[in-house]
Amino acid sequence: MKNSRKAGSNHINAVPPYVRGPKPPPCSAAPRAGNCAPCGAGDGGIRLSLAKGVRAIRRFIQPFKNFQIGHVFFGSFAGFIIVVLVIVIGVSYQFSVREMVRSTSYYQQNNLNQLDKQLNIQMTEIENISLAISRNSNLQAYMDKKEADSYTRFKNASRMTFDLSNIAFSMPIIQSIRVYVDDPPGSDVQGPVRFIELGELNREQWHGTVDNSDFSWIGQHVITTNKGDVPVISFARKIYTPGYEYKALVVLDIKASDIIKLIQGEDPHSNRVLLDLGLRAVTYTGDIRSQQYIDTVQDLIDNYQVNMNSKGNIRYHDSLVVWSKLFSSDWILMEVTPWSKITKGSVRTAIVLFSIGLIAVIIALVMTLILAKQFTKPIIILLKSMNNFSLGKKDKPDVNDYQNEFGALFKGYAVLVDRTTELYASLEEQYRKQKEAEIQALQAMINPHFLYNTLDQLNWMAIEAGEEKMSRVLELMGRMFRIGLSNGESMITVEKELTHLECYLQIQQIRWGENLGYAIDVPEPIRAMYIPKLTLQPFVENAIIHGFHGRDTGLIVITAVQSQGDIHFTISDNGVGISGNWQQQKQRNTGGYGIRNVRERMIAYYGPAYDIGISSNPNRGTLVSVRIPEVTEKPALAGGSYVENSHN
Amino acid sequence: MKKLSRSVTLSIAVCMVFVLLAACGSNNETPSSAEKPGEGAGNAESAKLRIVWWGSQARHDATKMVLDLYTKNNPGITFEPDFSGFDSYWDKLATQSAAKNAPDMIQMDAQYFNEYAARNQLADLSSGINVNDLDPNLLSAGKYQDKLFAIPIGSNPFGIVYNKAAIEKMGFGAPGDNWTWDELFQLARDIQPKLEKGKYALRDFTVDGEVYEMFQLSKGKGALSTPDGKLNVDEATWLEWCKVFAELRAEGVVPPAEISVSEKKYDPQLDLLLNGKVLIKQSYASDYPSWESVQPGVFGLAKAPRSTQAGGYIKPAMYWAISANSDHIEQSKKFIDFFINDKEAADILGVTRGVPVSTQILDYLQPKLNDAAKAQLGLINATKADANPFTVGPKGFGIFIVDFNKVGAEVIFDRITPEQAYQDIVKHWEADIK
Repeated sequence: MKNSRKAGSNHINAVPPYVRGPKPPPCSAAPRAGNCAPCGAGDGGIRLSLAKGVRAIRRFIQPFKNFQIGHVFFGSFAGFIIVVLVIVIGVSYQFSVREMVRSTSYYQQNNLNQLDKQLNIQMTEIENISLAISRNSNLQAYMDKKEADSYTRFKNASRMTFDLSNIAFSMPIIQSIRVYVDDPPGSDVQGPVRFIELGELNREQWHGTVDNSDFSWIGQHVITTNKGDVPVISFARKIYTPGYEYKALVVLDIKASDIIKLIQGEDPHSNRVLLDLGLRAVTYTGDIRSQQYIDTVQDLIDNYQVNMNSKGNIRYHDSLVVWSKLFSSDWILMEVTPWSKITKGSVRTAIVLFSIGLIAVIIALVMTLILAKQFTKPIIILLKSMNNFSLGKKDKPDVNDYQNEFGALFKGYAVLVDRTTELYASLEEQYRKQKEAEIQALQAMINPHFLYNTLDQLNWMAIEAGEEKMSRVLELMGRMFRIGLSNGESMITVEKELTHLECYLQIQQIRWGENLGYAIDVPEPIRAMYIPKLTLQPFVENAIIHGFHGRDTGLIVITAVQSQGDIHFTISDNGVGISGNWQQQKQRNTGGYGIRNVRERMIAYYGPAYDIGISSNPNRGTLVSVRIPEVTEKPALAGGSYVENSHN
Repeated sequence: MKKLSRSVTLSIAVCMVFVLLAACGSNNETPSSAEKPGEGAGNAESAKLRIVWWGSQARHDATKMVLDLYTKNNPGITFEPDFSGFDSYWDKLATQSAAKNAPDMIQMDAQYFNEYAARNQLADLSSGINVNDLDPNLLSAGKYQDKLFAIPIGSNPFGIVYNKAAIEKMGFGAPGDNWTWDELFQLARDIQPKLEKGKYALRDFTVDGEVYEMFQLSKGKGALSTPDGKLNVDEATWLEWCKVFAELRAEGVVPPAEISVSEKKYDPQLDLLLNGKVLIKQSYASDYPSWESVQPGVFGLAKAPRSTQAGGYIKPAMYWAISANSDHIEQSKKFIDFFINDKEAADILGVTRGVPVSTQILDYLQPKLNDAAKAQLGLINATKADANPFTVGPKGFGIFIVDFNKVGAEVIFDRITPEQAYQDIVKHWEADIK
């Protein structure tokens, strides 16, 4: 009850929408919702820019609420794809690098193992051949029988040369065989076998290597042959006589190119080094110098706790170092692969992924752009038609091929436009009616002057005729008319309404004499309040005309009390009461018309919540109660504010 | 407007997809199309030919230059040369043939030709090489059972080389074309007193079967083997030969045995002629540039001495043969054709393999010939006049000569008598010639 009452009072105060002047554009119609909020008051540059910053931040905190949908849709989709792409590329790069290192070191390890095995076989064979040479009887004979005659020495030398030559010829890997011996025989400069004075040994750079051991490998060095300078790897073995005297040294020169080919295996571009057990670089292939290998190995052992006598791999600076030494082998093979070479495949994968991703992103962006356009198109159409909405032209959005949510939106909007248009039409109708009423009231204001003058003349005529009673009636009537017209205003003070009522009752008393009594009990505050005019009079008139019909006496009591912001009027009489079928009768008599008039006006002013209550006891009287809201100010323009039901 | 832009973006997207597909496609295709021509060329043209020869450094250098020239003219053909001195050459070749690993192209010698041809080690060269400008008599030396298995590219007379500078300085004249063995021995005896200790006038030819052959030829006793492959060492002549040198050795005109056997041909330190230990020894014409290149202008060539008749002969030499096991027989034939018929190659080779056999090439080179070449040509012309026919030894003859020389070495070391030596020679013949 309270809510509806409040709503009612609001409606009384509210100004009808069509008289307010030009409206600002509705917030919902603006493209950016944030703009219409009157947050920046516009005073002071600092406050303004601060507010701007805050606004910008707020926009980014909730982009879905602040940016154009198309941009948000496109931006978020593109961002999502790019992030996914970057993650995929990054993860696959990392993963493939790890995998490459693992497989590279695995295969290199296997490869080196194989090569080490082959190498060991090859080297062992060379060592065995040198052993066989040291036991060669012709060599032994030449060494031993120094005192023999020159022919024997010649013969032994020829046989020894023949034997050694055939060994060299039958093993292509042997470049030459050098024999350091006292009193050497002549040797063919173009042949594979050279005999050199044992004393000359000290001139060789590598003589230190063999001084303290019976046999030793000599790292890569260069010897001069008839085919030019040839790099060789040599195996030197001391040869002893049966009396265990060191008499000769045989050196087998192995073509370094053959060993290099061996350690190269299938890959001629690899960086590999062959180390002996003393970690001396015997030979190597690739771009790295032997000293660098030796330094690397030393560093690995000193600082990385690496065991070179097994197999393993380690990342050393920007390269992968893999080495292998078989248990039975006297050789360590080590391979150094630049890190960039290992990651080359991964980088290529990443580049390919990136290129594919880039193209995919471009395609996706184009598709997203198209999608975003398609999705936002109906919204933009709707927005446009909302912006262009005016009462004059009824252009509803001209799309009816949407069957989905957008279709519903368009339909809903069309219905809304229809209803708004209808509402405006009904408002216009009501306005027109009110104007008409005003004009009628103005016309009525002219008539009373004629009535007053006529009544005045009648009064004078009655006085001249000595009809005092008539004069009195006419005077009261004049007062009633004045109040009844009240300059065309529909709301008057309760005071005036009561005065009007008393005039009517006094006129009736002149007719009824002392038999008609009345009492008015209305407190002073209520008298200052406003009431639609002629609200109470029809009930009093009914009481006299119907209630006291056929009676000699009658009493009418009028009271008013304030209660919860309302005023309760009661009009009671002690007449015959109202018969049960008075509702049917009302069409045919004036009383019925009066009540209906009052009721309709009450509803028009205050809404259906305010009504008139009538209760009656046959032959005991009738009690009419009228409830209206307290109105202390005079309404600017009374009447017809309660529009909602007016057109129903 | 809006519809247009959308269709434009769509078409761009479609284009990009096609470009992407095209890029992927072309990536896949490029390598496969690039490989094909390479493979084709590999099958048809490219080959690595192994080639071996013996000789001195001058011959090695010239031959390698010709190989480079051929590679330049024929990209794809490369060579793996191997070269050595004469003695170790045959040992090595024997080892390689036994291992069925003989080189594609082999420099062959008359002494070994029959053996290799008989063992089916050599490819038939009847076609594919232009031999029109070669002397047919010379060419016939490369035939075995009437099939051409080798192309002799040098006519190589055997004669005497002497230290012309030293001998002329001592006041002796150059030997004439008709000098005899006795004149040679007398010259040596005359020179010897003028020599310092440790130097000798003449090499001890007891250990040189080929020189003895010249001696036997000059006595009218024929070569060491008969044309039908029988031993033809005349015992009396052999004993005379040994006796002459035993006397010269005793007189100190030839060096003692240990010096004689220490000789290493062409080695500046160990070659007795080059290190100045002897002044006169035997030489093929084609050897001459090897002496000349070490000490230019010092040496002279003389015709083989005569006795009752001329002792000299012209040996078809420097045969080129192709291994029957070679994978590149056609390419090898092309190279040999180039080697003997190309003028540019001839310019490089000069006379390092003897005077060229192609008349065309010889005419072309004639005006350019240097002293060494002229000396060779002189020996050829001098020998040609009364040359003995050249006898190719039977199969195994090369090994027999090696054994013959070993027997000679035993003789000069006084291990055996010349008579015993004759018996040993007969035994070796029976062992080596099968």
